[in-house]
Amino acid sequence: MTHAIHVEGLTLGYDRKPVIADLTLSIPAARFTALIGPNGCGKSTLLKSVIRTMPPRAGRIDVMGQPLNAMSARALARQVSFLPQVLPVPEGITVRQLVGYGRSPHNNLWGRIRGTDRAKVDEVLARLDITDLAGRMVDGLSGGQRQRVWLAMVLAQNTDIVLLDEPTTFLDINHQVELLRLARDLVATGKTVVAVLHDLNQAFRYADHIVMLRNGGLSGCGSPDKMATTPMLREVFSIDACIHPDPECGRPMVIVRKP
Amino acid sequence: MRVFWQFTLALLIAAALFAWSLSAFSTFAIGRADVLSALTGAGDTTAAKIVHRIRLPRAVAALLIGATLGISGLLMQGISRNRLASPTMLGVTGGASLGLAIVSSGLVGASMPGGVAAVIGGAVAWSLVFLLGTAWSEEASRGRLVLAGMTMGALCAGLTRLVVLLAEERALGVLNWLAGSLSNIRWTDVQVMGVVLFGSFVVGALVAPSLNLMNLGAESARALGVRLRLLRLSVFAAGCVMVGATVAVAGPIGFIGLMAPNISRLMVGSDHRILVPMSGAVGAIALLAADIAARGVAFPAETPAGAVTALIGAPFFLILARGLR
Ligand SMILES: Nc1ncnc2c1ncn2[C@@H]1O[C@H](COP(=O)(O)OP(=O)(O)O)[C@@H](O)[C@H]1O
Ligand SMILES: [Mg+2]
Repeated sequence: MTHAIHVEGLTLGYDRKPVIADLTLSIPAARFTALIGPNGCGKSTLLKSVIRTMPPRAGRIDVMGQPLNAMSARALARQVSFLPQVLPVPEGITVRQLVGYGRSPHNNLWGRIRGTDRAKVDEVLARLDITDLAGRMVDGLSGGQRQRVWLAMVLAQNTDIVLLDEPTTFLDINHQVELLRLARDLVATGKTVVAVLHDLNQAFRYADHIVMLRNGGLSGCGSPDKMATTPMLREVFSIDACIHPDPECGRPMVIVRKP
Repeated sequence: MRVFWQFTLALLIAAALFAWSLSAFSTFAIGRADVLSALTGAGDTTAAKIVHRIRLPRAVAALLIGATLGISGLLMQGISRNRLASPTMLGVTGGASLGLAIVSSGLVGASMPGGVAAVIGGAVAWSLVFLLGTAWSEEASRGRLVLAGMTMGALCAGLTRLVVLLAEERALGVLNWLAGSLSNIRWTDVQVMGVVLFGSFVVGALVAPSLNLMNLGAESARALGVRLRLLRLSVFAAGCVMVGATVAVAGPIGFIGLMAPNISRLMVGSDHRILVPMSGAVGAIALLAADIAARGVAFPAETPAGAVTALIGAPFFLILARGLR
């Protein structure tokens, strides 16, 4: 079993025209996969289908070798966590409460927080360096702080598969790098991370596996070295770019050519 | 600890109002002794009988109905993630009234029990509001849902009036009831409401943790293991029964379902496990107070309690709507 997620013949859409048509794709287990592609090509839609907020028109999705349809909501929540692209601002709850909600798939039906849950919450707060925000109200945080707090909630869920939809959007460069390193740490402990990223250089440098989507479907997937090519970038993003090894660690680096 | 004191305070207020309501504003003088003897069931005086047969069921019903409305409003706000949601705003009260007006005016289905008609009417109206307001989708704006609900409410009110006009000979009774009044409560009504309120607490307790997660948005709630469809269906079914029962017993009483959860949030925060009982308590107090006021404002004449809640609730709604933008 090397696939954390496998989709086959998947068709997704909101109205008549499908956003993703007949997509077949595998996400390797215990690897960091970057999902990249132009705005509106269906990256978020694809992730939503894995947590079942987006019912497929056709096709099937397997998670850890099990058909998604056969899993209970709680069983799925213990395997897959999800950071949405658009984060609602929950009113009237503290950071600690929000992060604690990440434990709900593990605690009893009445939502009682136990000692082990509290320890996990403290651990992720410390890991993301937001312990000092714990008592603050979530609706009073800045965009970047809020994003890290939500990320803490997702990590508190402690699932084998972590789906992150544009996790770096509101973060400053320091916290972006922090997040990418965190993803690597998660992978090092055997977790599967799938993140939608917009910075191609970050994707090629930190991810093990690249999935490139364009409007309507997949343009290709594979290792960063295989995917970072001038024709691929032209096809997916309509840019003319050349690829050089980056001076720091030799991973592919995209440089856009003069028009 | 703070929550404990708030519940204690609510209990004290409710008890004080309850005691007062048994003797307040009566054309027939009722003394403390009559109240006490009625409560112990030993009373033989006319005053004691009035307390036992009329005042007592009325006060208990006010508490039960108010609590049921408060919890129903909380559940509706929870699943639609909209603080302006309430039985009235979602059209449920209007639909329930229409259903009841149709059967009680003898137009159609006269053999159907009024409560059943009210539940069905509420369910139909609520479903339509959700279809019109696309309320299940994450993108549904607050405004759209409010608009759909208001439209449905107005439509139901118009149709109800039409039904009443068509059934002339019974019109007076129905009109009285339409204003939302507790003046005709009997002990059987109290029993019905007792069962409904008990059920509301059970449902409320069961869905409270899921509603907490709904506060994070439907997507995150789903990712955290909430069974959205089951949650929505439970709240829908429970909400229709809760509102239908109150409408069948006392007529449409607005704004309790809107105010009680919002006041409770200011008091105890956003944890639905605490908000369920607190909204019940605040709703109970609000309706009992409104009923006392309804008897007092034009004493010795009586005004409907629904008018009083509307009078207080309408400005509350405006303030809330402005605050939320
Ligand atoms: N709730 C929605 N209703 C209708 N269409 C939508 C909705 N969400 C997204 N879309 C459409 O689906 C397409 C894919 O959207 P999305 O998956 O969010 O793209 P991405 O995340 O790749 O930027 C877009 O064309 C968008 O307009
Ligand atoms: Mg997106």
